[in-house]
Amino acid sequence: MKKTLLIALSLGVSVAATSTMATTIDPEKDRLQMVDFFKAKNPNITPEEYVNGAYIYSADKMAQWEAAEEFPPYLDSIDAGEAHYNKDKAVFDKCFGTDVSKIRVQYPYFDESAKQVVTLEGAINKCRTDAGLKAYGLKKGALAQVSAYLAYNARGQKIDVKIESDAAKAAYAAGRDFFIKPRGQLNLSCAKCHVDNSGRKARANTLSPLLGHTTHFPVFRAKWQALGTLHRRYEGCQKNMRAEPYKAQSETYRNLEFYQAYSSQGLEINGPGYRE
Amino acid sequence: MKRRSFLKGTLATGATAVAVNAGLLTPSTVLAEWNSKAFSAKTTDDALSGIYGSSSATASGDIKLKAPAIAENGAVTPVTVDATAVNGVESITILASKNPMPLVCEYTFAAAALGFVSTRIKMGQTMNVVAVVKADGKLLKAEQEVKVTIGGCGG
Amino acid sequence: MSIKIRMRGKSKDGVAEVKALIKHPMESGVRMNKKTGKPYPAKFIESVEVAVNGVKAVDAQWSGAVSANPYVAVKVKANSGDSVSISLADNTGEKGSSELKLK
Repeated sequence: MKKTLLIALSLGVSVAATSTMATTIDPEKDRLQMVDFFKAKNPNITPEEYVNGAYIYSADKMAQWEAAEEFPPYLDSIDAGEAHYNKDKAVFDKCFGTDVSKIRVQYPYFDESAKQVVTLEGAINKCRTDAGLKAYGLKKGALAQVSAYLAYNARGQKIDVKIESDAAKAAYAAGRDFFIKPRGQLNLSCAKCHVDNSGRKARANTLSPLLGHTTHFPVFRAKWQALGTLHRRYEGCQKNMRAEPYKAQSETYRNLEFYQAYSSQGLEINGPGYRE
Repeated sequence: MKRRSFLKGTLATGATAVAVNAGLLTPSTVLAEWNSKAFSAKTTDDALSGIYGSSSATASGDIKLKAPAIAENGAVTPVTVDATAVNGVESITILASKNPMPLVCEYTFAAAALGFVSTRIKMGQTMNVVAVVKADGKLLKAEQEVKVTIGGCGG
Repeated sequence: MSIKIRMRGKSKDGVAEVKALIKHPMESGVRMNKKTGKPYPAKFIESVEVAVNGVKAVDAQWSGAVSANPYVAVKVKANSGDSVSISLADNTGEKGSSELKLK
């Protein structure tokens, strides 16, 4: 039985990602429904503005973000990322080519031969270990800095995730399933906060929208006073929601990233981003 | 307690100017002592007395104080004091009314500087950010409440 | 090791807004180390000076309540080609300075 994202959301039912289901999933139709949902929720906000996350919902917050962006604290991270990258440039050039502005936009993608989602951060580490170098830690530090350097060089480019095969669709469906399924002690799903209640407050925080969610990663969080990767954020949010987190770069999180990236298809990359 | 005296229109001599440019002059040789009495004062009044010898400042609509209504993160609250509409600004002081030691920072301006400063400060709880401007020998002020919340969700 | 300062500034109609981002922990000396039960020792920038073509324009005194990795912007009367310099010192004697030629 075919279920669209919104129907699934309203019924609170998860969509199992079996291979038969995969063929009935239409990621583009899903995405357009979601864009329409957000348009209906806030008619005055254009889809392009969603790359600024929760800031679009409050002029007060937006002003604070703009104040931070006057001279953002992630500049050092970009420089550090560049230094790391150049240190092993011979290795990275072989994996990614010599043009650093062309790398970020290619991820995440579905690797048809390995039958799995490949993320930028995963690819950076695989490139290193394949060449005998030590892998970077997955949540912060060098990996986040290199990712920031590559994101910065790709700013303005539009997200362009390809989903062509049934296997890719299944990965998308698995990510979507994770996003809408309630879990943990609070029985919350990602969708409950970031779709249904996007723009509203949970305690003191304004909930950010699914649309444009991942365009600004890696993120410099004021709370961390440091840079962190997308999977670091996934883990932290799950812990806060009293749910057992998965590991950074696990298949679960990679599929989730794949779903989220596709959900921001056509929006501009604006990483690294400053957030609360 | 040594009060810094900084005369508007003071010109560095040629030798001083060269030394500053060459990085040879360090702030400790040029500036007077850090005003520890004012910085350790526990009330805004005492802090202001420590800097200006007086704590009575008149509210002025000519001072544009920009601070968030709700600080996203109290440790990095952006504050801008724009007193360019006031004549003869000599100094701007920023205080955080309920910080254990309210005095945050103080700026003295020579002729080449405008009465303007923008920075980020630490505010530990909901309180007023207070901007005091000394201009033409008088003390003016503007203040605004900034709500500071404890973070909610998110790793 | 000197304190690292990034500067930006552009002159328009004879006025330049000079922005600086400084790398510094700005430890107030009040924040408690939960593991040791003692406060982290105070290490914060105390004095900041901005000069235009070598002439002092702004003189500032800071406390540990200025945010970590501080940002500060001031406005000075200056034209393209003028040189703006910032020099600062923290309570432990560590110093930093930087200079910018205005666009």
